[in-house]
Order: sequence, then C-alpha cells, then structure tokens
Amino acid sequence: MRPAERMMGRLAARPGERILGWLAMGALAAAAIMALVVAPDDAQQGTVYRLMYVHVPSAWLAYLSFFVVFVASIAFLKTGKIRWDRLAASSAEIGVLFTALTIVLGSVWGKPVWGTWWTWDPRLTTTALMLLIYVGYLAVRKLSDNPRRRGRWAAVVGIVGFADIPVVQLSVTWWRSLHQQPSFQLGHVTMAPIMTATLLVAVAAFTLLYVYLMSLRLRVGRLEERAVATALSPRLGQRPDALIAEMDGAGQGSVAEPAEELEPEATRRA
Amino acid sequence: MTFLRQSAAVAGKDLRIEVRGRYALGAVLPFAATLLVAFGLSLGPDRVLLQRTAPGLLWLAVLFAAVLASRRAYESESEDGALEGLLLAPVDKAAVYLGKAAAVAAQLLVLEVIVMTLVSALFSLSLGGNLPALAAAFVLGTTGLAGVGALFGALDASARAREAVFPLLVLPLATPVLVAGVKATAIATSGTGGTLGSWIGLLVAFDLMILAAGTLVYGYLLED
Amino acid sequence: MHDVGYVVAGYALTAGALGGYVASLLVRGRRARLRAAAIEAAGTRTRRRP
Repeated sequence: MRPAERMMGRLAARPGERILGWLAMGALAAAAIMALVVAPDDAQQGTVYRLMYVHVPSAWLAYLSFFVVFVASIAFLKTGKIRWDRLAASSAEIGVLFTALTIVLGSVWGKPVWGTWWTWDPRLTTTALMLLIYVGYLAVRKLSDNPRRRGRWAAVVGIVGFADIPVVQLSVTWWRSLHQQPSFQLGHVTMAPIMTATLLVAVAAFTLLYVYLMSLRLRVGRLEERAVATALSPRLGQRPDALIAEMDGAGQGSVAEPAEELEPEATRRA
Repeated sequence: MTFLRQSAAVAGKDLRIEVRGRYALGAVLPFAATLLVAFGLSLGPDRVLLQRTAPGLLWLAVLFAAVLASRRAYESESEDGALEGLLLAPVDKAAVYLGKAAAVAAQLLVLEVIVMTLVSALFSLSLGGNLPALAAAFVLGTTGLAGVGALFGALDASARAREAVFPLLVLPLATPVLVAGVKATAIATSGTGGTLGSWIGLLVAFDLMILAAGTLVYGYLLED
Repeated sequence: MHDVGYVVAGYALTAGALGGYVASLLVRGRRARLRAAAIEAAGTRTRRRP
C-alpha cells in the first residue's frame, strides 16, 4: 500500500477505535459503580471523599497528557515529521480538558471540606498554573498557519512548559507551607484496601479513556489536515493525498514542492 | 568568534540600541511607576497594608516591565528585517539567545534600582535589612525573567494577535521567580518570615532550568 | 447528607465534560470530511468547464 492510500485508510473510524470506545465506557462504568456503591464512606469526610475517584484520575491524566506533549514535542523538533506535532497538539487539547476538570472537581470537593471554593491549596494552584501554560500552548498554535513553524513554536512551549512544572510545583508548595492550615488537605484520606483498589480501577479506566480520546482526536486531526490540503492542492499543483503523505512521512522540505509529483502520479493512475 | 564573544556582541548591540532609543527608561520605567501608583491607590491608604504587600507589588511591576522589555528586544529586530540578518550570520543561535537575555537583564536591573527606591518611598518599605540577599534575589530573579522573555519574545515577532499570547506565556512560567522573589524580598527587608536559603536556591534552580532549556530550543524558534 | 449533592454534581460534570468532548470531536471530524468532499466536488466541476 502506498503511503497516501494507507493515510486515507486511517481517516475512517476503524473497528479498533470503536471497540476501544466501548471498552473505555465499560471500564468507566465499572469504576463508577465501585466508587459510588462498593467503596465505603471515609472516616473523616463521609461520602464527599468519593470525588477523589474522579479528581485524582483526572489529575493523573493531565500529567500524562502533558508528558506526552513533552516527548512528542522533542520528537517533532528532532525529526520534523508532522505526525509528532499532531500527537503533541492532540494530547495538549485533551490535557487542557482534564486539567480544567481536575480544578473544577477539586473545587467541588473543597467546598464541603474547606467551606470555600478555593483556598490556594498548592496542588490545585499548580494545576491552575499548568492550565494557563497549556492554554498558552494552544494559543501559540494559532499564531501561524505554516504547519512547520506552528509545530516548532508549539514544541518549544511544550518542552519548556513541562520542564517548568516541577519548579512551579515546588515554589507553590513552599509558598503555601508557611501558613499551616488546620483543616485537612484534599488528599488526606486514610485508604482502606478496597478504596485503593477502587482508585486503581478508576485510574486504569481513565487511562483507557485517554487512549481512546487520543485515537479519536488523532483521526480528527488527520481529517482536518486533509481538508486544508484539499483546499490548498490546486494552488500547489499537488494532489491532496500526496500533500498529506508528504507531510505525514517526508519530514524536511517545504510543503510547496514543485509539481513534478503530478506527472508520475497521473501516469500511474491512467 | 568564540561563543562568549558572540553573546557579548549580541548583548552589546541590543544595549546600544537601548541607549540610543531609551525605550526602557522612556516608556517602561514610567509604566512601572504608574503601575505602582495605581497599586497604591487601589489598595487604599492604610500604611501597614501597603508595607506588607510592597514586595509583591514590587515584583509584579518588575514582571510587567520584563514583558515590555523582552517584547521591545524583538520589535527593534523585526522592524528593519534585522532578524533575518541575525539568522543568516554565522552565529551560534544559542549565543544570540544568551546575548539577548543578558541585554534584557541589564536593562531590567537598572530599572529595578529606580523602581525599588520608588517602592521604598511609596510603600514605606525599608530596604536596609539584608542588602546582599536583596541584591542576590533581584539579580537571580531578573536573570530568570530575562531568560523567559528572551526565549518567548522570539514568538512575539509574528504579526498575529500576539499581544495577549506573550504575557499569557510568560506569567505562569515565571511563577517560581515571582514567588521566590517576593518571599526573599520580604525576608530580606523585614528580617523575619523564614529562611532565605531555600528561596535563593529556588531562583538558582529556575535560572538553570530556563537558560539550559532556552539554549537547547532557541534555534528551532528562529528557523524558517 | 446534602454532601451527596456535591458527589453527584462532580460525577455528572465529569460525564458531561467527557461526553461533550467526544461529541465535539465527532462533529469536527464530520465537518472536516464534508468540507474536503465539497472542495473536491467543486474542483472537478470547475475543471470540466472549457
């Protein structure tokens, strides 16, 4: 199969993707049942602590997503292949979703526990800063239409942003620790074995969900790139699938190659 | 030309442009001063409150000044297409980065001396306490801010809607500088509130991180 | 007991956000596919004209 045809084949939802989706949903349902019904109430927080089973996996996914952005960004800078940039962009988008979710869930959990919606808890504050950094990442992607420039600029943000997170976390934690809070921290739940098991199931379910979301988002990314390539191809003298295949696999070199490609393609198809 | 020479040359060029144009003194300094007066007005005339918040307000003013100075460092290039000339020159891209960062840091440090005297007056903040520590905090913090600004300022050269993107990037990334700078300043000026060592250490860690990362990725930003 | 409200709200929010995102992705994919098809169709039509 030529690269172009292989590329086109990945545009339709393959059965694998659908199965992944149903599996993720099933895992999430199982996790929800365990979290809401099977797991017992907490000694200190009562039933409210159950928000931990969605808040913690969300936070885990946020960090996982941004780690993927970090690795994909490095890979893109080193190889120049657009597929790495697509991976980074997809993971960043999903990461922003889960980061925002983590903050909201943390706030909802905090209201009954702390009495207020927000208390500058170090982990939540760090998460808020992370959200801002990656919203910045997505904003940088809007600065240029040139896919390579856009990818490179975004990659720099993806790399520096991730490297900064530990330093930010440390600084906010030290900043906070000067003021000892008498009330319990969000994470302070004495974990019975069944709780730990439930949490692990939830984390696994969310991870499965991440894989599904990435699969779906990558496909949508390819579809959107194809739409752009189709719009550009008359101007660049290349067939859309050749444009896409070139960007997907070829790497270096500008998108606007001379129309030599057109001849062999045309004769092969004739 | 050795790497150090290249950086020095870039820094020298940027500083010469500043001396001739006087942007930092002419526009950024008045902006910082306006900001401080606005802070004073918005927080009310209670002297005690102002005194306690002074380190924070000081560093916020420095942060905004850093954004403006970094932006300016690249505007002067893109205006005459000088950036292309810089790219074509056989200069190590990392040397350009460090040179630009050094120039921005130098401008900010001069600015900070003036701004600190302003804050001292406006908010009754006594600077005497631990001067070496105060200086260390500002030198290290400024280096970090210049490191971030010189890196992402290169993005700013795009014509499109960059007005909000650059500050959006700088502020969260520079959080450790803000937090550590404010804490160190508060401890150095009041003599109480914790150990300076950890905050200075944090500033050093941030500086190392940003300068190392910036040196490695800067070249990719300029490509194209 | 009204703490249960917070738990319900949190889980509902999670489900809503995730479901909403999946739905928006499917819509985006469909739109992109239709746009590409429409451009291609328009292109062949204009090329046929003398």
